[in-house]
Amino acid sequence: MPSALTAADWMLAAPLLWLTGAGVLILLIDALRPARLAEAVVALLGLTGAGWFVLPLLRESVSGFAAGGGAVPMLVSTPGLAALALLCLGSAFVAGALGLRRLVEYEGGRHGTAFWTLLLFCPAGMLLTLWSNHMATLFLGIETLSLPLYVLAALQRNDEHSVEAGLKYFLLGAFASGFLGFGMALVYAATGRMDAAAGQEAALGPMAAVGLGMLLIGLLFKAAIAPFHLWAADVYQGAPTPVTALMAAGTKAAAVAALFRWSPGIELLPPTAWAMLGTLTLVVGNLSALNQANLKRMLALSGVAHAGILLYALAANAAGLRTGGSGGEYADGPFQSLSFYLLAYGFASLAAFGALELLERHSGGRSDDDALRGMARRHPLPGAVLCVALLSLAGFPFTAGFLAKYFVFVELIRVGMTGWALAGILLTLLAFGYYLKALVNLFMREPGPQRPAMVPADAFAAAVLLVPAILSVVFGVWPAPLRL
Amino acid sequence: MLAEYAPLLAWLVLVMAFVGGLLALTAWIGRARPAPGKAETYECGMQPMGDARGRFSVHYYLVAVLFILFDVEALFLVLWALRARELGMSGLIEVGLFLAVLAVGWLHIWRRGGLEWDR
Amino acid sequence: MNQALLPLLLGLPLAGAFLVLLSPAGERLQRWIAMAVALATAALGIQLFVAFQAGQEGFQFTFQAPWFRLPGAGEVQIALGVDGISVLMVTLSALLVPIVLLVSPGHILTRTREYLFWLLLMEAGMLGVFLALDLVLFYVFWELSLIPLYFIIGIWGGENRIYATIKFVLYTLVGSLVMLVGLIRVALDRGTTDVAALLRDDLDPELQRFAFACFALSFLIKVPVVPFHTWLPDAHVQAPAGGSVILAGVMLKMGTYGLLRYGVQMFPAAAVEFAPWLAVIGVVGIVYGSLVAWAQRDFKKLVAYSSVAHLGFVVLGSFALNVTALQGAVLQGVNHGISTGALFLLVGVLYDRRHTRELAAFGGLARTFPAYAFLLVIATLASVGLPGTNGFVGELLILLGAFRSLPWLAVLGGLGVVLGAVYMLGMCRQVLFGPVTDERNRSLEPLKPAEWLALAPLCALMLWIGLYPAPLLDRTRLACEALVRRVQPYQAAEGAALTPPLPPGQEPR
Repeated sequence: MPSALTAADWMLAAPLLWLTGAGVLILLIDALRPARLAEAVVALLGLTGAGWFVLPLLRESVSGFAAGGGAVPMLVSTPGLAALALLCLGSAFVAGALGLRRLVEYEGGRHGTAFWTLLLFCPAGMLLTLWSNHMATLFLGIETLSLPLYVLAALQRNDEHSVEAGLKYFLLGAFASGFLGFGMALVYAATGRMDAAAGQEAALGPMAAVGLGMLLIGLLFKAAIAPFHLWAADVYQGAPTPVTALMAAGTKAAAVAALFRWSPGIELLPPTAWAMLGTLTLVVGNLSALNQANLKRMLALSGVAHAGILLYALAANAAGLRTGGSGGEYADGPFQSLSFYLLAYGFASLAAFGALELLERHSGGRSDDDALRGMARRHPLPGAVLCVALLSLAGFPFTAGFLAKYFVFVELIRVGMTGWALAGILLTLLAFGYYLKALVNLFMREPGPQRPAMVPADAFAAAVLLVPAILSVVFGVWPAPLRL
Repeated sequence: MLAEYAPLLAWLVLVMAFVGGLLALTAWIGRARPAPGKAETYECGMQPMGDARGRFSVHYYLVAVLFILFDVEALFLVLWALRARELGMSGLIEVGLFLAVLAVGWLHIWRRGGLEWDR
Repeated sequence: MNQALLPLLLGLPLAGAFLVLLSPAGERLQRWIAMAVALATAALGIQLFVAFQAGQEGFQFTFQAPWFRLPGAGEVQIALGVDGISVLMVTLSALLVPIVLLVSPGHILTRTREYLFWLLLMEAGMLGVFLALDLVLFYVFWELSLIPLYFIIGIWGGENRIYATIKFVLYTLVGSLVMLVGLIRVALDRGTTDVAALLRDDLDPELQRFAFACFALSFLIKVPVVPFHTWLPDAHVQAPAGGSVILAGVMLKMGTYGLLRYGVQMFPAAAVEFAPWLAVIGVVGIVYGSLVAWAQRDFKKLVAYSSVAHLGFVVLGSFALNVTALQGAVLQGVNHGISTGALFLLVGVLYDRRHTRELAAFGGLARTFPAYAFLLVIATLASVGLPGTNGFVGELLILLGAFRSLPWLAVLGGLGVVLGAVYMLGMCRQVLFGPVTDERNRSLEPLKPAEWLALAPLCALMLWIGLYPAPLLDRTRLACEALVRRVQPYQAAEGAALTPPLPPGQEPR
């Protein structure tokens, strides 16, 4: 007879159960009495309810599901992770609000049920990934978050780019999952452990090292970090824009946070290795984003570059661990900077892709520079949101993006890696180049001929869109509440 | 610890050697007498007709996927059945929940017409 | 009142910017709202100037509020305050904005609402740079002032505006990103971002060298000095007249102000070490800027390059590191803002009427457009530094001070004054005198009341400062003495004490 669930277990399980329960309910509604509006309401309520269950986790760290009677908890939540969990749920909400008029009504609403159910299952996977402290939960989380995304990316099935995105993401993602699973098996075989700390052991044999390497590759793929980023541009560009918003904000947060918590041992990857990987990602992401003539693709590649900066936080963490800086007053500084960055990047990319979605409805679904020329002038609200988002992504002051970069570089300089910080800061200059170019195109050029709108812009999507844009500014001025 | 796997390794080597050896032996001993009839597709002794690369109906794939889904999920039931007595009432409830979720999925597929061949 | 003055000064344009952006008012009303906000800010600026206690050392009107906690660097504060150096800059910035608004209907024909928004936002950013007494806050405002100008040049600029605006932003960003590194290192090393505390602190010399290099690079790009100046002519030529005025009048002062506050005062040891080199750079700017200005055929480019030359004087004065030269440098910063601002407005007046800035397109305007000629002559003479105008006082003080510590550079700088007279007066001759070459110049529209209102106060200021600079010099004296006291121990240590040691409070002359 297994021991009953404790209160902590229930706290962690509640949002997951709520999400999956709502998903099953939608399937049932569709089977018994199809009603499109009811499905949407259930889905959005499901996401809101899950968010409500996450709220108490913001105040305290909770660990639950201790495997084998209290040895290692399988799920661990900290306030920072709970904030990221809220971001994931929020991005699913925004994706739902944005997809309401285009994706749900696509092909006469035939895929509405699939859209809503997957939109509920996907954040459940993200939450599992964020909180995972055990290989079983990590694998389950990654798979639960990926499988819905494969389908969501290909949802617009008469658009070849969307189908290509889904297929590409699926094939490469399955390959990465293979790496992840095999890596876990090797680590388990070598150490007999399946918890997150297995990789932190100082002395690791070759088998564990290979296993950790493969586990790392699997996570690096999900986080789209060079050289495992090649899928990102095509998938982000091809997927329907609301889904891209979900991937950019939610998946990135879940994958990078998991990478941070599972970042393997001190011996295997010294701080410099992380910094080198970060710089490589930054260079590759920025250089390839610089010459894009498509805003969506540019944003996708800039997301790669942002992951590069996030790796600097991992470098600072590794350096802190190496010098035995744990237990100091600011020992969780690297994680704080990482979670702030993920939140800032999440808000900004939700706002950016969301505004892009609204603009695309007026540009015939196109997101290339030619179609978007001067569009911000014709549609001031999405234009303003996009402006705030791009400035935040670039890292201008009074946006959360600026403080996010600032915090990460502070951590890096604090552990004495000033040279890397200098390199990273100068590389972000390239990013300014392409964000400014996008602003030029949207604001300063004359708009092209007006096209009839595919779908009228809806007030709900616009209202939801304002939230991340406003948060980007609010937390840029008042970051204290997010320093979790 | 790796030593425990030594028999496995030996078995692996033996299998490889056996299969490889047989293949090599047939190639060496056997005589090749090619004839046009031998190159033809075997179709129950009948004259082959049509193209081997014919397209299957997409329904095959759908049914195959559904079969795999429900088949794999049946595996969980086997595990539960082995320990049904020890798991007791709570185990029964958990499996009931599992089956209920499964049933919703099945209901959905059914009502959506996933099981109809002619659509 | 004293507590609330600075937050009010900063909040007013910020609130006004969003008021204009979000109010449903029509275009005329928006202009009036913006004008009212700018005038109120200017009134506060004047109030600040008047209420500033010249006889009191250190920061005045200080304001502090906690902002957020930074790992390893304590609490970041919203700390504001002015001393003798920044008070002039604040007042100058607050005064220039209403003038820019006044002339904007002439050349801002589309998207007025956005223009007013960006202009007021920029004012808030610029004031913030001069008021901030916290490194992080300073950096935030430093960058914030960048975005509005980016849009102002990019949307309302000339033909080649997009190239110019991106070049401007990228040049400035290189500097400020490097500054960010230096800033973080200082903050982490000292465990605080409080400027007032850092200005008293003795930092490790190696750290000073690193940080000074980081900060100074950013400021030198912003000033700009040769060879980082190439963004300036592009930005000036493409910017609308109002943008140019703000750019020349205030933006560039952010660089010279930064050199004094975050260069000399915060890192005195490094400043003493680098001072001769920076003074050389200043002189190169004077001579090079003058020569290039001489060769210009475009009115606006000529004024832009004259800016490079004038700011060379300011850099020279700043790094001569004695009280006279420093006072001159601060004053010359103000002078340049007024006279170059006026010159850009005057270029704009001609451009609005003829849509060309070719010097060759004009001639004989003294006869056909006498009011314009009158104002242009005053601005030119102030820019050249004729006795009785503000330029004279500033240049004289800088050269006097520089002669004492860097005689050879001062001689070369003096050559710059002569060159300045050559190209500025040459410009005047070309535009105002000689035969009327183009018939269109005979029927130029007379100056509009708004243009009079904008230009007259600037010209009056030039003459007032030229004849009676005491109110300004009084306010800067103690701050400059404090600067000198800060660097003196290091000058002595270098074994190159160029000025005799100065006991606290003693008259420096």
